Amino acid sequence: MVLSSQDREVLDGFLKEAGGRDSTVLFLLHRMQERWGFIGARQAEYVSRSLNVPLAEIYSAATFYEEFKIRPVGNNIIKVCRGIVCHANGSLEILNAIKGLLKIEAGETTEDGRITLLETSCIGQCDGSPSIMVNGTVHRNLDTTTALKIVSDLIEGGE
Amino acid sequence: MKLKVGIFGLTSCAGDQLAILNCEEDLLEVFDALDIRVFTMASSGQDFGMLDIAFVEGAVITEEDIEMLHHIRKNTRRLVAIGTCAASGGVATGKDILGAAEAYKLVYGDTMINTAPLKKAYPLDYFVEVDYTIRGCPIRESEIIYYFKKFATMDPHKNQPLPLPIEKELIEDVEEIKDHVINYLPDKCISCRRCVNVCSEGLGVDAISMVGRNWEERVSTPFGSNFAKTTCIACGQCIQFCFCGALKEREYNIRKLEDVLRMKERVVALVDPMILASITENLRTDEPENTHALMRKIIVALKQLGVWKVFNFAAAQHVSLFSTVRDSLSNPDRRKILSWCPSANIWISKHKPEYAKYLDLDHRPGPIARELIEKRYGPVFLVLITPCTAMKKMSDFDAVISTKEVSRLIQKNRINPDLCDIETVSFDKFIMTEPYIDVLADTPAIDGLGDEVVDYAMAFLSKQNVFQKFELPDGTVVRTIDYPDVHIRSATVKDLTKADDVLKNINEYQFVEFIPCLEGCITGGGQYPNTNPKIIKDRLRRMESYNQGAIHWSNRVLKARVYKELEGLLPRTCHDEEVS
Amino acid sequence: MVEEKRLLLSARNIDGYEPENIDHYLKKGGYEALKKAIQHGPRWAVNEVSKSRIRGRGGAGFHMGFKWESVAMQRAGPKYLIANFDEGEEGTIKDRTIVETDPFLLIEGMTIAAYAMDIEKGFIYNRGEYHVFPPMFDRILQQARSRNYLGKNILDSGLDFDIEVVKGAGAYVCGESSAILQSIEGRAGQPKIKVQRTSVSGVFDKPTCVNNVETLSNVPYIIMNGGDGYKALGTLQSTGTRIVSITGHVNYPGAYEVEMGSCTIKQLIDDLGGGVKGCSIKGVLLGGASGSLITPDSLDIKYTMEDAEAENLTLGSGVIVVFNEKTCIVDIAHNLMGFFAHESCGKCTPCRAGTHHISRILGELRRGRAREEDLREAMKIADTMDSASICGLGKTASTPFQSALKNFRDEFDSHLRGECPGRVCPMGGDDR
Repeated sequence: MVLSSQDREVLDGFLKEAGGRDSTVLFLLHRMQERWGFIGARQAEYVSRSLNVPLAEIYSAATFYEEFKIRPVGNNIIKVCRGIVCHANGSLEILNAIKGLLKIEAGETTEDGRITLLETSCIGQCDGSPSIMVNGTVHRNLDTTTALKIVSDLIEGGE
Repeated sequence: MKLKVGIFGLTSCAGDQLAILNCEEDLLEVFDALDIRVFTMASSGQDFGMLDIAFVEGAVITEEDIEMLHHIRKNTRRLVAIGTCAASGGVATGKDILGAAEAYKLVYGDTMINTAPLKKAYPLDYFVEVDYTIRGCPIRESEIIYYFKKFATMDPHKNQPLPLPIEKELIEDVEEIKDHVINYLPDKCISCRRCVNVCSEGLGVDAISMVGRNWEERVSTPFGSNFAKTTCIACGQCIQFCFCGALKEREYNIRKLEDVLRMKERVVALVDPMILASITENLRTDEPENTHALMRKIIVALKQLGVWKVFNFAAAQHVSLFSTVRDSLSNPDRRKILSWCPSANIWISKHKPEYAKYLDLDHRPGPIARELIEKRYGPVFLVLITPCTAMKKMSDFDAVISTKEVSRLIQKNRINPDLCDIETVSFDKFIMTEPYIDVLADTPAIDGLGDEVVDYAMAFLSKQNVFQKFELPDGTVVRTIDYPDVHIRSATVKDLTKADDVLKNINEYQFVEFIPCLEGCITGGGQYPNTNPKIIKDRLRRMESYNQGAIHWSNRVLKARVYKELEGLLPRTCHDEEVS
Repeated sequence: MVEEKRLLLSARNIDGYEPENIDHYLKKGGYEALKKAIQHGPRWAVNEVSKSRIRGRGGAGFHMGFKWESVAMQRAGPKYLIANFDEGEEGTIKDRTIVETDPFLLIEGMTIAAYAMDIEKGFIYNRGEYHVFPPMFDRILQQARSRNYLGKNILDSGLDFDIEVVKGAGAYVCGESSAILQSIEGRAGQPKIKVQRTSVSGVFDKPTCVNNVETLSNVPYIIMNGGDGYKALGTLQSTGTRIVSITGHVNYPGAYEVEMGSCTIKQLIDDLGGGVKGCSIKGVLLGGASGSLITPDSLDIKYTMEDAEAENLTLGSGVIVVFNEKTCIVDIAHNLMGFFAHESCGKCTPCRAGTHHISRILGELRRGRAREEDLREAMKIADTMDSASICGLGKTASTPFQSALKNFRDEFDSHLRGECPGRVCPMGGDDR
């Protein structure tokens, strides 16, 4: 499998954006994750050659951080905060309720491939606990009902 | 997407297949994730198409077994051996130890039973490449479920770094496995990082890195690729630094090796004396320091194992230097990077491709040895016995065996080196037929070949010289001879991370060599793994004493004679080869 | 009745204040401090910060003045400044609060720091989970550049300084100062045993100053009122104010800025946090996930670093998490150790294996399947982690567990007998 010329163009665009920066690898990994939903081997190889950074180092970074995936996940990502404050205020019940609704375990993706459910460490919304993040948007001060409403809306959303 | 799985049994009691069935309800959960195309015990119908994983139990005994096994291997991406019979031959090998007739008598007494003669029992990896092995007799039920679940998301490959790629295209062809000389076993890894440190900071190769976080942290190649597809140069230093056996060289199935040596015709061995550096750390002998005696004992042992002729690989290295110098001094447009070290060759082609045009691949010792040997003896099955990992990738030889493999061969066949009669033993000759010269010649590869190269240049130019040798701050060793109209400089670079200094000024040197292994061949990937400085010193001392007692090829008389003999034998070559 | 003292959060007192609007910031006196610093010179600025005795608000509590002196002294350039906005310590929301309320304060603080230490490039290491802030920073940095408060020859001072926002990607350990360097350099954020201090050899092997967002945000005030002016607030060893994150089972969870030493922990909880939600306080987590679980008896400690240290406690990153009577302490200890097991970078065995095993043992304890020996084993492992881990994460990961064992032993004993008094733990059940 070779890098398509379309993908190569996209990567060249990212590389150009990263041009003025001192911290390039993390920036590019973010761009690649946003664009393709995961860090692909061919794309990473191209970036490695362009930046003259060993591919092994890029792969090490890609597997270290929570946000970067090396295999595709669902189009929508729900992260339930399991930090101590959210935990003390009932995030476990919310997690279990969402698991029941989606019929998957944490770390899994629904059958139709649309929604991935993850647990996270504290996301810094302790004054609005319990909280969850859906596709990067934070929802605070939830209870089981409001949380399930958000998830059902997502299911009906269809993307 | 469900994985397509097949479960097969060759000659077996079917105990492992039964164990799988015994898992009962747990199995249903597994069957959800895996698409079981064929399960010899549980269903009939053998058309299974291309599988992702084939689980095979049983030993390989009958012709049908062999055919079936090859058929399965061709039609599956991964082959997993389950149970002791598949892993190592199992119960059925019992009769092979006694001998079929004896065993028969023991069980059946004098009863005559009409049957075809019993064949030997072999494990799966005697015939085909096996990707993963689960032992047990039978395999444990809890393990079955564990492995089924694991393989549903993890590629069952020996080289199994985490996490794994989703792109099927990265799971390579069975054929490509040949190129794969380093194996990583994640179950044995304790995440000590020594291998990553040496590969990254020690060598600047960066083929592996620490991957994942917390308890899941492991060593891995990028995206789990085959080492050969990464920037790996197969130097095997990672193997040397791993004290848990998580990184290993790819080794032959030892029974297969024995059979090849014993049954193939005209098997000849080229032995690199550098194996003496570490072999006594495992091979027991009364006088480990008497390296010449030990070499002779090994020659005797090899012949007992079935080898027809045993040659000195150091001789091939010397000859390669002859021809290098001869061709390059007379050719202004010469290639100057010595190519005796296969790992350095891979390093140039992968890491410094802009200098590949300087790489003198035509004068590699392997092809030269084969040419000279076959000229004298006709076609042979050429085996190299070496402490080098990268040599295992070279198609110059028919088989490449490491220090560790040869030691195991000798011991497993109960050959006691000290009982070998070495009175009149020496290497066989493929050059120089004069009997009074004992070709137990010195091994040049202790410190690189720089000394010899410059020596030969001197001999060819046959003039008086002023020879100088000095070391640069980064460890590079430079040798020069200077006289009125000729100026010869050779550089031996031992620290690859500082190689650019020499490469940028390559035009100032007539000969350049690169040595990835940290102490040269003394710590080659095929040596016994050891990084204890005292032991490394012992190894160096042993090899230096070997050299001192050997005939020196720097002996002018010897050189002149060899030169005359080779002049007619070695054709001048042109520079058009690719490095693999 | 304890009252807030809003220095950093003074914008909260202004109706209709637009945090992203540089004119609003200027109107309330913004960038006057930078002008004053430029007037008096970099040496003066470093001195004032040293005089202020301000200590790092990220958790380590190192004197900012020492750091600044050390970096200012370095001749080899280029030098770097890193604003640590990785805010991963559980229960901490203060840096987020500052950036939501008055982000220009941080930018000005960074610019003054750059002027004082002769630094040309700054990074804001923005934790990955705070998605909204990187675009916001881009917007406000543009404004600062357009008014010459950032970029080349700032306010004709000769200082060239600009800021790059680096987005983290979800790793608590990257808040550790040697890990943040690795992360910015594009590697996995694994801490390093440093042969040379960061101020001598930091990111890209160059002299680097790593400061917490809150600490940097104090700089404009220190410059405007002088080090002595800042020192006048708080106590001798804990000068100035701190933003305390009061969360958990309280009625008004939030971030509140108070003068150090002006109140006790209890007063913070009752007067600002609205008191416990529930009947009574069972325990308090002081400092963060790497802090101690203390009993209600200890809540009368004055909120200063020295008073905490006297009790062998730490204020950490200014976290107070309150737990009411319905809480199971063993459950809390398990959750916290699980956090560390997940966030451990994996490099050194004591932490990688230690967090994993203690977490496992606590899980078994909660299911009623652990014995006394297992608990003793966990304590031994915790001791090893304390002394042998190479970074702060490993060294402090066991603190909640050890303090819980010390202060709430009876709860652990109940679980050993197979009972969970709070009826929280799945005794005899499966996972969770």
